[in-house]
Formats: sequence, structure tokens, C-alpha cells
Amino acid sequence: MRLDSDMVLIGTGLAPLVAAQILLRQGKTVLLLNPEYDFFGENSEFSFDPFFPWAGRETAMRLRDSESDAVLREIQPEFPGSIEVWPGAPAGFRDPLAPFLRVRNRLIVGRKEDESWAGREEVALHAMEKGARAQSFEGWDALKGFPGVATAKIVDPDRYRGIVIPKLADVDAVRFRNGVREFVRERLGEDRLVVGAAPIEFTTEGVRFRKQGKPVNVRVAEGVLTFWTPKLTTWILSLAARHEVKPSLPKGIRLWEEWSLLSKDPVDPSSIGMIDDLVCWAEGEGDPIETDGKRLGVLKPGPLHPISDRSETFRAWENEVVSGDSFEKISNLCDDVLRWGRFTLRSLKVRQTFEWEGHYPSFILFREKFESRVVTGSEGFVADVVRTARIAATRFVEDVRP
Amino acid sequence: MIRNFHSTRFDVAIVAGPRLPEWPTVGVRELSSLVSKFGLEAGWVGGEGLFAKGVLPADGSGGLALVEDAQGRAHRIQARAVVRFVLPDETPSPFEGSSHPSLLLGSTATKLVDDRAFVWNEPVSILGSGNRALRFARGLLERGCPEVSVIEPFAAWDGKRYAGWEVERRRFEILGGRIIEAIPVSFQKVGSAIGEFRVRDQRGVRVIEAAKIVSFGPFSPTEGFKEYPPGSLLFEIEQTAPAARAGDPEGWMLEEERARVLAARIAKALVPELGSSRDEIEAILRRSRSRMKRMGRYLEEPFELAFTGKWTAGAVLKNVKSFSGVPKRAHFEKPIASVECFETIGCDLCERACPTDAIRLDRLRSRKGDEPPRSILEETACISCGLCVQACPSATPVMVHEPEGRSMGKVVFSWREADEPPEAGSFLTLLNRKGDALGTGRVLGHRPPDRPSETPAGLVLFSEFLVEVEVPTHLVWEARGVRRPRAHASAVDNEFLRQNAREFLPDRVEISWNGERRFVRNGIPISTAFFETGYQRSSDRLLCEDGSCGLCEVEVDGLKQLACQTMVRKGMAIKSVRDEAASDDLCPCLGIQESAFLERVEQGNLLSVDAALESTGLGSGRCHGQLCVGPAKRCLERAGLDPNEVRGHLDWRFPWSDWKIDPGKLQ
Repeated sequence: MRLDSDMVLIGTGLAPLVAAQILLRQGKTVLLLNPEYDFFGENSEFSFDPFFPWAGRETAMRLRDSESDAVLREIQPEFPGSIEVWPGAPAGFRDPLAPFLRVRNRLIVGRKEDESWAGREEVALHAMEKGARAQSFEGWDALKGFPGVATAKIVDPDRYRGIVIPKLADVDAVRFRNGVREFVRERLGEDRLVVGAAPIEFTTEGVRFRKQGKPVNVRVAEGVLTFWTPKLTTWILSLAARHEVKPSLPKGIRLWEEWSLLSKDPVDPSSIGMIDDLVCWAEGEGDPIETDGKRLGVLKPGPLHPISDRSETFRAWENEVVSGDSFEKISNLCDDVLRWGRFTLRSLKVRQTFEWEGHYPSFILFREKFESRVVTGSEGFVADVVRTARIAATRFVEDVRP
Repeated sequence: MIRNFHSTRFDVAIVAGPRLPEWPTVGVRELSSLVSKFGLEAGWVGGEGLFAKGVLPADGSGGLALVEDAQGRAHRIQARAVVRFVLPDETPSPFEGSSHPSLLLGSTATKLVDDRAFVWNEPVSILGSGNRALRFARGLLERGCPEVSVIEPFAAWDGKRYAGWEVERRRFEILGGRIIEAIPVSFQKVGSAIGEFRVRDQRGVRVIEAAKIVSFGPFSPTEGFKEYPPGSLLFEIEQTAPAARAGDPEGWMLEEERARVLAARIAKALVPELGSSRDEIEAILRRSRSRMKRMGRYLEEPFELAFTGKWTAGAVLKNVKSFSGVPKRAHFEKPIASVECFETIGCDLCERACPTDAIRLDRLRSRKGDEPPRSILEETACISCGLCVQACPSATPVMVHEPEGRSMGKVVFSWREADEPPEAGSFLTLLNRKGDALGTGRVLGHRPPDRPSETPAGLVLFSEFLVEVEVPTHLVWEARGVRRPRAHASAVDNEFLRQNAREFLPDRVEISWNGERRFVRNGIPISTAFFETGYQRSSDRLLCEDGSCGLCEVEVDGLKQLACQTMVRKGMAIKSVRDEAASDDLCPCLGIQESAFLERVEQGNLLSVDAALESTGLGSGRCHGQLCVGPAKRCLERAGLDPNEVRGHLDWRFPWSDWKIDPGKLQ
């Protein structure tokens, strides 16, 4: 069976799936290639924006983008099913397997002796200028809503102060990706959604890849969109070098450690807490009330590695990820802030995202019989990924329209 | 600063997965010594006081193992290749009642037998017919268990033949066990002890009485070791070897050979300039693959016994008599070993035990082309010591004496029953190779084997006594087992009495269980005490060495503790912390049913186990997937998912068990 297509999409996560359904809506024939085994191995997509680093006007802009209404506006049109909102009306039908958009407060807590607090407040002020209803608290009021805190054991609440930004959203990333994937697979058919397609090469007519060990040649009529996630970095940089393109490179790849701790008591799901550079939240998919609610997720930024060293640094990464510093920070969180006494580690994942300086423009690899573009910004908060994919797909169609 | 945080780097990290009963086993030693030989640095993580908590796959290949020591200190171990040893999957596919507390996993049951935690004097059913299952089943019969049925649910892939080692099966059947090819349907307790185990075979549903079901597997063909994803140098290998070679010679040898192959693969991947070592590596690979192939040959060429009524069919008997392991002439003069081990298997314990080199299994193995096979048994060299009879885990060899022109001959058996051997002059029932009674034989006497002045090193004898039985000459080649006459119940009684007259009786202490007084042994894990007192909980099913499942939580004197990790002491008050309702769910922790799981997989056309697990949440419950991932893989295989993908999945998710750290210790 020939797989010749108008568009070929290459990627490992949510972005090519969203782009595929947008292009399908426009009547294009689409082939979707994922060099990885499946779409579930992608580790660069977050359920919420970690707002790292928390500084400057840019964070205030991102806060606005994370408001629940904005996120819902962004993701709802691109999801082929219902999206449940929590907390929502208890009456009526609720699809328990649908991706949930949880509306929670973002609680930024700091110690009074913390010198960087002024900078944090400044971000809140910028956010308020843009319409956010930030509030500041001190002492007990600042700390009591922090996820996982053992309120009965707090002895020094006066050390803390906090800022609350209400009604920010987080989204079930896995459910969202799976929902879009199932829809796209159904629309494209089995043959046109290819996983384990590696290596992928460009030819004058289109693309060539191996599927279950057999070579497949595909003609491309309009173009190829490659959604750049950290896993594709080596391949994309080698393509850029081959086509003599000098793309804007990110500052580096940021490693993230996502710790899952087991709490003795249910974790308050109403807010996502931030202290120092750690983000804490009541972990779980769907309705937080219906889960056991005893897991505390902690996201900790790891080292940033320059992208130029990519090919040789993974050994160095191993040195720095989940290091003594990580354990110190987590144990300080559990001991000093949450007052747990000791912590139980339930799971641990390492994630990777790009860190850009300012803008991160997509770039064109080549423009011959067809055009090949590399789309940046395909990782991070799910809503951002959806936006990136939508813009990339629609712009491409507009650009190539005669 | 954290003072107690240690970071170490190895080329190859060999880590123990959860619940391993032995560490290190032969595979660990073989793997580390071989990779060291090629200049790689290998490190072991496991054993007492050192718990691998999981592996974070690195970007590319290798990974980072996080380890906790007995003092609660954290260690991070970087490795270019990681090999994890795991237990073979023993969890059965869900059926009605599969989470009943009476269903034990094989590893749990083995521990309870070793610990004599309760008396196995009720009928037992065993799921799976692998060698370990058959050996366990035979052990129960020898200990006086009245009825043991082995249920093989996957006859489709010739599970019975795979269990292979036909001698093991024969031994089990000689003792009165039965093997049934059937699929479990339901289990239901109908009395305080006995339950009804319904299975479906070719003729329909049949009911088997069973007090306990022990699940051993294997429930699907296993490759032994695997890498996932390919090229990641993250390997998983099954621990099939026990502490001592004699415990499971085939499993020992399999693990040893697999470890060699793995070591060669790792060396090829990690050593850039192999030079002359390349030939050595290739030789190791060739040799090990050839040995494994040879061990597997009996899967293809089983020696099937055929009977005419109780009697071995003429053609088969002719084959038996012509087999090179049995005597041809010398047994007319005196008792001579008859090594009736017809398959080429990995075990060579009889060969090692023989003080005169009369037995050499490699004579048969080394034949090539048209070269006539040389005899396994050098009958003229046999000194009738009986060591081979006692050294065989399956009691396969016997000694036969068939005086020419006489009506009575003699067969010497290994006495493996739990009670004392019969006295001279008493009578025993003679059994054929499938356990049918042939008649009676008079005991001429019993004796220990004749140990030569130089006992072979490492020799393990499975019994202290040889029993010499006078047998009619026409039964010398038929009688291959003995048992006390049915009317004589002392075998059962002795075992029962022996277990109940435990020397530890004086050490019993009083505890309170949900407000009731109980007397239990002092110093044993609470979980074992539950088994011993007859209070079984499905949450104790895994009976972990390391508390890795976290299921068996109880409240001890007001504090939550794991029952498997907390020792009994006088006066402790134990309370249950959750209901012990049994479920038939694929994932008992999260309540995910098989049908819902498969429906989700089918709807989503999920192509890998990772996708299926991520999408359904399976494996993220309290037991960390130890109860559900194995059955889920089989469900996926049945659902038509690519078996290679399914088998390729390794659970590298972190951690394998909860990790409790006192922040104070990190400061």
C-alpha cells in the first residue's frame, strides 16, 4: 500500500497528533511518523506550567496563559471528546476517563529571610497588572494551603509568607495525549500512524523510513513538519548540519526530577504549591477527590546542559540528576516545611525540556519539491504544546496555499 | 551538606530485583567474573542490608541505580549497563477466586514449607507444571500430603513437555500425583479447610478438592533474559538458580549459561578494543548457546513412556534396556546403578557423585554424526555404592540386580519419605513408572550409601537411606517406586507429629490479634505467624523478603508496620488496617478488571506494554505491579498484541518498593 501523502508529521509526543487532526480537518492526507516505540514514552510534556524560573514579565505572561479559561479555550477545540473540569458541577454525566482540567490556585511560599522574595512579589505584581487576582498572605495563612503540609505539626508559621494566584489550570497530559492519539489513529488508519519508524531520511521525493525492518518510501506533496522534542535533538541537529541550516538553538536541555512521595494523610488538592524551586501538588489523574489522594508530586529542576554538548553529556547528566543536592532539598521540604519527619518515596521520573532565551522560532530545513520545517516549542505544558501544534499546522497550510 | 550520600560508578551494575530469595546466585557470580575478565568493573547491589530501589534509565544506554543501605543511607550508582535479576513470574491469570487467601505464590509456599509454617495435610492443587512446580509437588507428597494435583493451564504450548524433565514428572506420578491439562475456572471455600477448585479440561468442568492452590508457572514461554529497549543495555534476567546446585540443577545451569551469554553481549557493547578477546567472547557465546540448545533438546525429543495396562510397552522397554545409562550384563552379578535419565538435560549431579567415574553424561552429549554413542554408564566400574541414587534430586537412578535363572531380583531405591525407612522383613507396595501398584516387595534392609574415603567435593545427598527391596525378576525393569501399603498411615502421622512436636514450642508467646489471644512462635515475621495460625490474608501473598510490595500492612501497638518485616514479640497487639475482601481483579490494588483493561487496549490499539500500563494505570498500585504486570502481559498476548513487544517490556519504573528515609539521617 502506498503511503504517499500531502503532509508528513514527525514527532514523539502530543504535538504531531494535534497537528494531524487539524490537517485532517483541512482535507489533507497525512502520514504520522514516530521514531519511538509509542507516544507514551514522551517525557517532556507537563500537566501544568512549572513557571521556572519564576522571574520577570515573561512569567506574568505565562501565568495569564495558564488561567483556566485560557487553557480551556486552547485545548478544548483540539480534543475530540469531552474535557471534564474540576471542581465542576457534581450533577449530570461526567466521563471518568476523560482528561480533566483541574482549576487550582498556585501558592508561592517563601521564608521571610529569603532575599529573593522581592523578585517573586514583582512577578505577582506584573501578573496583577495583567488582570490576575493575586493575594499575599503571611504566617499560618500562607502555609496552611500548601499541598501535603502536616498542619498540626507546624511550629513556626511566622517564618513564612506566600502569594496565591487563583484559578490556574492543569491538565491530565497522558489522558489528553491518548484521547487525541486514539482519534487520530481511527481517522488515519493503522498504516498511517507509524511508531518505531527509524531511521527517517529525506529524499528528493519525500521521506524514507524503516517500518518493522522493511524500508518504506513515501512521496510528499506539500511538506514535512518535524516537532522538535529533546529526544529528537541529535537527529534534528544532524539534519540541520546536512542542509547547512543554522537554527536558533536553545540555551540547553533542562533536566527535571519528578518525585512522587507518599503522604500519611490525604494531600490538599486545591492548590499547587511552590517553594524555593520545588513545585508540589496532589498527584493523580482525573477527579482528585476520587483518587486516594495520598501522593505528593514534587517537581525539581535539575541541571541545564548546553545543547552543543548534547552528544557527549549524558554521562555528565547522570552525575547531576538525583544527586545529593536533590535529596537534601526533598528532605528539607519534608522535614522543615511539610513536617513529615520522614518521607516515603513512591516513584521518580526524569524529564527533559528545552530552555530558550527569548523567542524560539521554528525553522525551515529545506524547500525543494516539498518543504520541511522544524517546529520548536513542542514540549512543556500541554496547553502550550497544543498551541504550538495548532499554529504550526495552520501556518503551514496558509503558507503553501497558492 | 549531606554527608551520607554516596555516588559510585561501575561499568556493569548487577542489581537484585524485589523479593529475591537468594543473593548472589551463580548467575551473578558468573556474570561479574566474566565482565571483569574483559576489563569491565562490575558491582553487585543486593543482599542483606543493601536494597536497590529502582533504576532510572539514562539517555542512551545504561542507567542510574538508587540504593538504600541498612542504615537508611542513599547511594546512587551509575552504570553503563544494568542487569536486574528477577523472580520468574508466578502470578496466575485472574479467575473467580484467584485472590482467595488460599492461593499462594510458589515462592511464598516454598518459604512456608522451609519454615514449616503450617502442616500440608490437606489436598493441594498446583498451577503450572514447570520443574520447580513438580519438585515442590513431589516434596509435598513425600512429606505426607494426601493428594497433590498439578494443573497445567497452557497445554497449547506443551507446558507439560516443557516442564519436561520427564523423570521429574515420572517421580511425581510414581508418588501418586496427577497432572491435569485444564484451565482454572473458579475456587471457592466450602468448609473451614477444603475448597472446590473448578477447572475446565477437554471433557468439561471438573471439581478438584483442594485446601490450597499454589501458583508456580511458568504460564508462558520464557526467554530467560531480555533487553528493553533494544540497545539500552538495560537487561533483566530471571533468577532460576537456588542457593545450592542440587536444589535445582537445571535452573542453576540455565542461569549460569544465560549469564555467560549476557556477559559476552555486554563486553562486546562496552569494550571498544576487544582485540584477541573477541575470539574468546565468540567462543563463550557459541559454547553457552550450544549448551542451552542441548538443554532444550528434550523439549523437542521427549522420551514418552507408553504402557500396556500397568506394563511398559514392549518397544519402550526395549528402548529402556538398550539405553546407554542402564546396565547390560553386570547387573546379573550384583546391584548396578541404572541411570534412567533419558533426556539430555542440564543436570549432572550423578556424574559428580560417582566416585569411580562410572557415570559420564558427556559421553552421550559429545556424539557427532555417525559416531556410535558411547555408554553413559561404565557398568564394570560401578561399585554399587548408591551415591548416584542419593544425589539425584529426582531419585531417578536405582540399582538393579537381576540374577540369572532366579525368580527374585533386587532393586535398591532412595528412601525420600519424611518418616523412618522400613525395617527388614516388612513389605512395600511396588509402583511402576506412572505410579500404578504392581504388587508387593519384601524389604531386605536399609543402609546409608557406601561413602568412599574421598567423598566428591560439594556432594549433596537427598536422603540418608537406601532401601533394598526384593522384587520378582519380571518386575525388576518395571518397579521404579515404592510406598508403604495404604493401610499403613504412619507416613502421614509421623510427619504430622513431627511438625507439631516442634522444638520451638517452648518459644511460643502470646499476642493479641484484633483483640483475640493467639500463641505464636517468637521472633518470626507476623505474616508467617498468620499462616501458621491458619489466619491467611491475601495481602500476605507475596511474603516479601524486603517488604517491597507494601501490601501486608498491620497496626502494631498503634503504629502501622509491614507484617512481613515485623517480628513477633511477646504481648504485641496487632490490628488489621483494612478489609481483607478478596477480588478477582487483574489489579487487586486499584480494582482494574481484566475485561476493562483489554477493552481499553483494544479501543486504543495500544501497541506496547508501556502504553497499555500508562494508559490504564495498571502497575501503579500499592504492590508496584508485582501482582498484575505478569498476568497483564499474558492478557495482551491473548489479545493478539505482538508477543515480542509484550515480552520486551521491562518495568524500569522507579522505585520497586517504597523508600522510607528519615531526613535527619541525611543531614
